[in-house]
Amino acid sequence: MGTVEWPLVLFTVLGETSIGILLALWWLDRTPLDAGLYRKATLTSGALLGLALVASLFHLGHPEAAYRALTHLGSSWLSREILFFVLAALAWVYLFLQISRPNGQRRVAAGIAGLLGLFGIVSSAMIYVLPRVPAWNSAQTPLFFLLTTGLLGALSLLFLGWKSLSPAQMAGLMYWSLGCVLSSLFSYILYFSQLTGMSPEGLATAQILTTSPLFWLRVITNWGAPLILLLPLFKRKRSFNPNLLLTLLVVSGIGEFLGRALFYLSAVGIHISALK
Amino acid sequence: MLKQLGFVLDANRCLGCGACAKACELNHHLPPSLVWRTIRKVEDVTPEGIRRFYLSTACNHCANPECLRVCPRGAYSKRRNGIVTHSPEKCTGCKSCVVSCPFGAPKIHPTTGKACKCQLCYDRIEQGSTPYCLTACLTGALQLREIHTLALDNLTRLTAPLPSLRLTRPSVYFLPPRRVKL
Repeated sequence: MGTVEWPLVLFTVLGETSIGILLALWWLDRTPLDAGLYRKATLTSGALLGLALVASLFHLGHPEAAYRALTHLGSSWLSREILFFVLAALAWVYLFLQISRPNGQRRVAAGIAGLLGLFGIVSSAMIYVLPRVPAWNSAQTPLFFLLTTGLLGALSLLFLGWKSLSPAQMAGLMYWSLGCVLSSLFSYILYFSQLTGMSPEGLATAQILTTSPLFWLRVITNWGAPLILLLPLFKRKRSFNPNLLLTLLVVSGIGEFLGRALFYLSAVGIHISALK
Repeated sequence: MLKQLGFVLDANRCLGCGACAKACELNHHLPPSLVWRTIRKVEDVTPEGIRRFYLSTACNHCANPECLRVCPRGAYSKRRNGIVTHSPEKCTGCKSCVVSCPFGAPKIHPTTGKACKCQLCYDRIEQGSTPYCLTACLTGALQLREIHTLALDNLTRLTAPLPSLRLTRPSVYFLPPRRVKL
């Protein structure tokens, strides 16, 4: 059984939310977006990215030497993750400069920052695709990381822009969020069925998950509650209730945090002891 | 072909006394909560007979080390004699190697917060001496050999249930114990 790495839980979930906001901004900016919303969303994204990067340092035994971790890009996904997140942070600074100018290239800048962040998220996920840990060693690990990005990014922008987004843009974000929740639910069911038929270590992971109250809380907050809360939004597209949007964001955020904590907690590594 | 040094343990001769593990602990000044070499008691009962034996295990100095692949700092290196070494001065304590090694060889040092593992006493070997664990072994069960010169027919290795894990190609071999008829 693994341990909950809280700095990594914070880093991954906050970092993915930040990048998700940037990507959602880039996607919605096909039709001009309100400058105030752009600024608010960019600042929120930057604050989350900053918090994520600071949290990541607490995972290291020697945070002061974190810069050195860039030197093994050839084979280490952790090196690549750090590189892409640092580049995404620099691209965010470029985006901030662009939104401060009247005719700044904000969509290009958001796209660059989002794309670099996306590479960082995929690199983050690939760190855990390890043959030693059957529960992590599958395509579902990067998929879960990307779905968190999609869901929390879209919900954050939905909440931030409930006043200024057009009904079509709101509907687009809602459909995207619903797609992420459903994809997450179905891919988790598939993941769980694979776990139980995989190996003793996979089975142990499944047992840790099903016997943990956190897992059942995650089922409610990550899948049950968002699906229930999204339904009234689809019915009343014209009048969005900010409290409902905030509740949806907070509940989904809790679900994603729990999901990531369980990801670390339920990891059972293979310990080789058989002679052959 | 480059050399590949590795341990060979004759499980028929190993008493499980733990002298090798203790010598490693004392000479490398390891704190009480940290061990680089462990003794495992193995019991294997089949219809053909019973085997009870001890396995003294440490880092396998794999030919294709997972720790070396995942380390973001390049703190691991493979020497020309095949020994996988770790440089604490490069280590940031990220634990990537700890999670990825299928043999659980790298550990986090409780005092320094950095990874550490059996270095096969490479400094002693370079001076023509032998590792502390070999010196301490009472029966000569634990030996250091050049793997490429070994006849591997009668030897076994710790093996993984998954092909992807076997790719690390550990360099530690065991002479399996004889089975005793029930």
